[in-house]
Amino acid sequence: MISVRCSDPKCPQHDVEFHMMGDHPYVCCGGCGVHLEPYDLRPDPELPSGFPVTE
Amino acid sequence: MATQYTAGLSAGQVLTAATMNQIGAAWESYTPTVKAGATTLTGTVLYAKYAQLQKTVWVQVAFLSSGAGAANGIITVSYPSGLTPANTDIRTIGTFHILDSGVAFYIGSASATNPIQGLAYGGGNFMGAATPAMTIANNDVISIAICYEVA
Repeated sequence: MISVRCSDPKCPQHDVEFHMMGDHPYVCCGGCGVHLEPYDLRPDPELPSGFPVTE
Repeated sequence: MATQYTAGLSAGQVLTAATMNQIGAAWESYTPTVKAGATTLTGTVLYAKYAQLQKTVWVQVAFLSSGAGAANGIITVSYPSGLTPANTDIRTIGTFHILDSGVAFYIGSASATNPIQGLAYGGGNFMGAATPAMTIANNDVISIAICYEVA
């Protein structure tokens, strides 16, 4: 898992921190399209099952 | 940085292996804004990638919410920057899937609205406001898979 954040004050996603599963050498900002540098690479967390029906 | 193929080839251009190999070679990760009503959801991007081949774009997103959205708010997902569809309207461009954790799965069609919204069978409004009317909560998952003509 990594985190990214856009620092451009004009971007609609400015200063919003995104946490993304996996390791990404490149992440495109969904707000303004710039290249974001991932940081804080760490193991992916275990996901809750969340399924409505469990056995 | 992955290269998306958007440029046309020029007359007489020699097609090299490098050019051919970059076409469709990699999907790009992006940061989608996922909302429930006016509330931007906090959580984890399980998957958010797109690929582009000239005017054709494919997007797949799965987002795990860790917070609550606005009650009965329309659930929306943003496009990659600069890649909104041609003629945004309610035509179908893919699938829209909501996991109401521990309760139910809901399947609908993704509309070419901006941002992306879902319509489920028989619904009187977009998903979240109707079919289902729901409040996004912790561990709910919003997922889309779409393909469309970019503007």
